[in-house]
Amino acid sequence: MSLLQSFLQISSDFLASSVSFFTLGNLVMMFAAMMVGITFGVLPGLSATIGIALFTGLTYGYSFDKALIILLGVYVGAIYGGSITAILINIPGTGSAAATCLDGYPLAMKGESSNANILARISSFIGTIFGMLIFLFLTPLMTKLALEFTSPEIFWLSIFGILICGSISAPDLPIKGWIAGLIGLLMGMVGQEDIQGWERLTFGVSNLITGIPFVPMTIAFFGIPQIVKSMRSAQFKIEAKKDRVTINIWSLIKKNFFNILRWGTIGIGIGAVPGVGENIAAWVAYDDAKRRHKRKEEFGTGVYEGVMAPETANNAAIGGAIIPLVSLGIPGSPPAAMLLGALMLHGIRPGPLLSIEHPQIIPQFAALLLWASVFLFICGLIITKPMVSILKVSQKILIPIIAVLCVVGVYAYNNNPFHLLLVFIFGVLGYFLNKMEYSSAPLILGLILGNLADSSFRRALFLHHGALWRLINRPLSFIFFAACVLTILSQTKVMHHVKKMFVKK
Amino acid sequence: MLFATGLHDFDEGRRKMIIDQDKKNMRDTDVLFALILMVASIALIIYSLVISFEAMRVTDCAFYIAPGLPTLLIGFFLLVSAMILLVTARRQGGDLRWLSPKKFLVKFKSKEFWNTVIVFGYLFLYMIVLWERTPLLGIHIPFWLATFIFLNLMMITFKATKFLNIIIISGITTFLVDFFFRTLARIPLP
Repeated sequence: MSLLQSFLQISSDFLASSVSFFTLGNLVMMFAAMMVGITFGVLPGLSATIGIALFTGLTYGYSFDKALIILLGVYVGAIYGGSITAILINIPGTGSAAATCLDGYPLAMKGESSNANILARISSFIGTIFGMLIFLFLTPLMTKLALEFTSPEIFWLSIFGILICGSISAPDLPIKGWIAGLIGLLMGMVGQEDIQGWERLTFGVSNLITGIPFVPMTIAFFGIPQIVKSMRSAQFKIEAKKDRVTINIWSLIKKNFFNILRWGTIGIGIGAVPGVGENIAAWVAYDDAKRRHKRKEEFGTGVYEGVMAPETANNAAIGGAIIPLVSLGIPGSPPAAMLLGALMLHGIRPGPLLSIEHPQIIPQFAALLLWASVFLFICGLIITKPMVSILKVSQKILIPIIAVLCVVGVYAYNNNPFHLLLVFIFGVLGYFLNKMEYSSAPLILGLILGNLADSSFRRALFLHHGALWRLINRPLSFIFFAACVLTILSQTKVMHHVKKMFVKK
Repeated sequence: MLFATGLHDFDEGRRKMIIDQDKKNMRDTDVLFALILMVASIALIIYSLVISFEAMRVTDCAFYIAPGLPTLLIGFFLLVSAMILLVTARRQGGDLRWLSPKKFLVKFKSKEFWNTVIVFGYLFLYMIVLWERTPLLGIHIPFWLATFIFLNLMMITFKATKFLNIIIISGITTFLVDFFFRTLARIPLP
């Protein structure tokens, strides 16, 4: 089959799937799933991963088509929903919205919460559509590229993600961002390690054998410091002076058209890397936006592109994360891992044979993503306004309620009261780190990627009998290694001297 | 006009002084944290070496796949980072003089400090009573009751609104959380 023929075939299957979705039952189901997904995203601690995990069980009795509508609706909704609390109260509802806090919250503090919210919604919408299109047409090519990733590439990519996140999120000194990333990496190594099954840093506590869980730690490092900070501060009420959209959205989108395409591409590319996911995608896109912006020093004070970039990338990463899931059976992100479990529960085994056994599945996924993005726009429009009004509620009332939701989120994760204790201990640590201006984002990223980086690193060394140079002797691994070195050098005087030398010449 | 300009300059000067003091405070805590981090990273390096040699002895594996290698590297990089932080903080005027009992007592007496302690205290109590059997008391406190008491305590302590409103808000919130999570979403609550 020629390239044109396969393109036409996929397009017609996609159109057929999109049209067949259009029944009242499906529309109602997608609407409800999207509302639930956004709510899960909004509530700190209840992420897309938990949402899909919960609904995998609840939709077990449904047909595969119906279950997929609900699960994708929850997935897309939750990734977008995280931005709402990130903008309004500086607590990212999901890890992927952490980068949105940096400029979203300052915008809300300036009385531009509606501007920030509509930008986040439109960016998420565009990101999802972009991710869907790439997923539909470039799956075979991306599969080939993802297959090139071996242990060294995954290791360097993880380190690069933490380094970049550390350097852009530390408001005081870049070294503080890297220290936070290292602490996160260390926390990610607590528990039984993958290579030899040896227990590390558990100190005889049996509850730590499975490691330090990511979801409760998101609450400990983002939620608890924010709760304490808001309650102890004298200024409890946030002034929301302007509650209307005051910017020309379309001219902003037109101005950033090529940037949006680039952020979307970053999202898809990073989302397609197994295990990396939406969180890094958002940070890399934010960094890209900052580096290319004319007034990069204003980032962190409320720049529109600082909201658009992470929101475009994290939603585009959904399409990217499904690419290796469908084509290789390897999920691109934690929520995609939950989706993998759900597919297998319905008797669908993702992998290279999937497109032969179920030829309709790729267009079906794409059609559902298209509808999900449409519903994201509609539901976001409905739900954001009531959410904006929470700015007018005294924080003395709001924060205790959020504290209760955080506790429920921790407990809902796996009903383990030990995690409540962990959240308290790490919440205290998080509070002090936050007070000393150590960003929580690289710490959480380190925690997520710690185990992956460790196993990739030692697996690569094992395969090459301890030869360190084999970690950088492939083109892709060398590119990621060089990116890591450049990220470190960019924060030192060496790079300034190099820059000066070039400028002089 | 002259007076106004003078006042503006005075405000600017005061603002700059506060910022400088904030930066000095930050560097002071950086010095302490860097020292703590250095001690912790040395302990981590020793721990990593111990478990690596133990694993090599038990499983006869090479050092490069020993479980302590990644933590050893993290310990090393943490030590280097802590040293850089210490040098940077010292160069920018950070020291440990703020740890003197007199200066420490001033911080200890501040309202902000006690508000922080109170919030952490309430959070700790709330999380503790949600265990199946509350430690020390040995009884089970239902989720709704613990939540209702926690919300009331927080709002009353920080004078959120009128007493009656606090009772109503706490009651409605407790009911909604319990109903949505336990009944609708079927999430098992403590």
